[in-house]
Amino acid sequence: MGNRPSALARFSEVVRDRHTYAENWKASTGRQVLGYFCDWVPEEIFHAAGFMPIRILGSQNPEGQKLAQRHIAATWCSYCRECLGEGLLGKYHYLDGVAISHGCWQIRQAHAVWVQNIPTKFDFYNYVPYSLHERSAQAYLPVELRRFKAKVEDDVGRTISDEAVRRSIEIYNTNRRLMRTVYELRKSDTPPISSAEAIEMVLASMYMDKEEHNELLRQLLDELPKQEPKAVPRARIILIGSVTPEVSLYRFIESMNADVVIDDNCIGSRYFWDETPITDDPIEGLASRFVTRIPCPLYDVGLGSRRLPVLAQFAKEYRVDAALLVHLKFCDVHEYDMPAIDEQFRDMGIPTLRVETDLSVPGGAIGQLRTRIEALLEMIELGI
Amino acid sequence: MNLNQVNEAKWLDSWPRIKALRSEQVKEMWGANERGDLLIWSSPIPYTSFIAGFGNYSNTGGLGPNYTKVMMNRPLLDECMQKVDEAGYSTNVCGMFRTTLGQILGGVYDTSLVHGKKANIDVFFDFHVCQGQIKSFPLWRKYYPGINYVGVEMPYSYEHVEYFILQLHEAVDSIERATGRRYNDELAIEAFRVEWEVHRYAAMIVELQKNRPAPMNARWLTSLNSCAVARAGAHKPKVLEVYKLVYEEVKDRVAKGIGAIPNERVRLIHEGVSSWYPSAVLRFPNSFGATFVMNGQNACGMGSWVPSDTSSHKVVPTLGELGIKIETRDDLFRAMGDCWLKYMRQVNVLEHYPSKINQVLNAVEEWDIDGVVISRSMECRGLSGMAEELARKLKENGIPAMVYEGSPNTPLEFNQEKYKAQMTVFLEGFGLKPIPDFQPVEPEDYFEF
Repeated sequence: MGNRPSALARFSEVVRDRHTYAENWKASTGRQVLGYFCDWVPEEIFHAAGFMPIRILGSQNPEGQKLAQRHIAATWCSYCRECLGEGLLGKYHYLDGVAISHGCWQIRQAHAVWVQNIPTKFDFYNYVPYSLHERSAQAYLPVELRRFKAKVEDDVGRTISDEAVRRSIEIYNTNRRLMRTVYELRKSDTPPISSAEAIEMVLASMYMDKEEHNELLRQLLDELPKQEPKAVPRARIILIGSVTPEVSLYRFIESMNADVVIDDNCIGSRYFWDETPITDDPIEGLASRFVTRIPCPLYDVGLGSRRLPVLAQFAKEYRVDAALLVHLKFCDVHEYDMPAIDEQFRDMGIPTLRVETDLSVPGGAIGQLRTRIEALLEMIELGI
Repeated sequence: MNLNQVNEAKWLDSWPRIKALRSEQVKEMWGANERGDLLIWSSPIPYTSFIAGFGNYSNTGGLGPNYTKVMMNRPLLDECMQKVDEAGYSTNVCGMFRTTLGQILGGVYDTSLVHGKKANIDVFFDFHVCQGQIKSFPLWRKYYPGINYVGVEMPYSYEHVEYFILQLHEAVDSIERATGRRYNDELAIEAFRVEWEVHRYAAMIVELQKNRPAPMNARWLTSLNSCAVARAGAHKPKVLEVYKLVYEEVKDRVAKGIGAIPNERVRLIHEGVSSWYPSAVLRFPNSFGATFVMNGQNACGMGSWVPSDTSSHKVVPTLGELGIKIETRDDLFRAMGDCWLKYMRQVNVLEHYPSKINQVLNAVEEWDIDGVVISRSMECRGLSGMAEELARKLKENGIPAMVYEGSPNTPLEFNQEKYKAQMTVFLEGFGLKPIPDFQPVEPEDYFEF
């Protein structure tokens, strides 16, 4: 039985020093780095254009929040100010451009303020219709993605060949497949990788060169079976909700001997769960993934949710004991879904706990959750 | 600034005609089921000619026919909104959704508070202008099962007009299946021609506000929009007649130097939604000699304007002047795309923040504005977006700006006294003081409207 897998240590390191990683990568490759605000951007197109796309996230730095509050009021979600604050602090000075999809208006505001106040060479805005369940949106999306690709080509001054997009799709799909394999291991009674480690793995994927990350994932999958089994968690939890980039939340839950065995958020499973289909025209494949991927609440708008059945499936496959519904303070879009999710899990006989977090409070205000989560765990243990 | 300036001011002669549009719409709505007209649930949007292709229709106006009565009845309002909290929706979500849901849960949405009659909705149809609408729309299914739901997503930019057109075709198919009615292109084309003119006249009226003194104010413009467009429907010939009447009256007021207040000293823009319920927001500055000349809704939600690189506001020409021929359904839907995505800027302002700032900066210059008051509210994130950034940019350009915490949908969340105190300080910054014995020109019952 070995020590902690070296890949996990590397993921932690990259998550901790992501800016240094990106700057070093840029210096060593001579290529450009593009920051994106929301994972509904077609990363593969940017990758094929020669960029390393990285996710823009904050670092729970109160100074960043303070700067961002001059531009975005405290009644907007702290996540959008987190991202903006990191930019205003100059932490992303190495970026050659930014990109956003037509995501939620909280993050769109962060993007709009960013481009008004931070010199940015490239600014890409990708329109993805919300109504992806409708035929009209499905027919239009490839048209829009082709237009978007042409815009990227115009701006960067080079052609992006279909072959290059196909190659990027393969690299991204490999990354998704390997991370999903790691997540599959968490179905075990004694998951060989903790939730905090799993989230760091996903975050590192968003911050790193994808091919390097793929190598580390292969290494990880080789090393994990050699690990000493971990203790059986006190409770198996599914964590659902707003973007929750603070790894400390997962560690906090682990500190109570419970484990988040599966999650549904955009820095967790939703980022990688679905692969891009391989099609003759790679743009058709990218469009198809947008339509069929697990939607975030913003893209789950039709009658008959596409997200709820996935959550139910997760709960069954990962044999969860409870659902933790995490809601970032002032996040409107997640709140629309919470009552239905709550109801579904209660109907399934799975207790739920709805909690509010706030990234503008050091530690994400998670300390005050201890009593509530303890109560949930006791309820599970008592079979209430 | 001439503090002694006094201009003539008087109330609108055409107000009874404007008001009648609303009362007629309410009567029509309660009789829609008996007449066999289509009764739709729809939010208060200005794009009303599309549905006219299905023949006569009425709509609940989203907020519902009892909205104002409920908002002004504190115990009833408390009861309704408590039910919304219990259903799991806090003040984070769209205020329009919350107040509508509150009325539904309180049993006062589609049942008249006057005569107890119930309205049966045939179809839920909406043009989704923002993410709040598109997220909340399917949630009505829980409360109105068995009714068909058809939504059209408004892209934020004219660049995506092809998607919009595809959706209109799809919506026709869906509504035909849902209602058994056939879409009549001729009816829709005629309705659209009227609607185009209504939005053009609306812009012409707002353009006359560039004069000093401003012949109307933002509250009157909002009332006109609310009664005529959001309630009655912009596609109706009688609505166009009222717009023409108001335009002539306003033009005459400009010629005679008649204003909306007697002491117009400071001209303001109100950005964001003031309130759908009666409140002091738009009239409060009047007693200081300041007036809201326009608001974002007036400029963007009502009128049709020709876009330009500078986001300046120029009234849209007629269909004929633009060379737009409408003979087929395809022509019609393309012209609707032109009108609603290119010339009307509501969706653009709600959903594309970067364009908002230039638009306001240009309006300030073109309407000769002294200051901007910006409403920020969790109830409407679309219109509140960029509030701080906008204020910052205005101040950088030497234009006084103030942001206040508003609440467009429910008075429960709005502290009017705080607003008044904040506004007083803002207005004092212009050297204004309350005018002793100030008498508004509006009749007292107008302020309950």
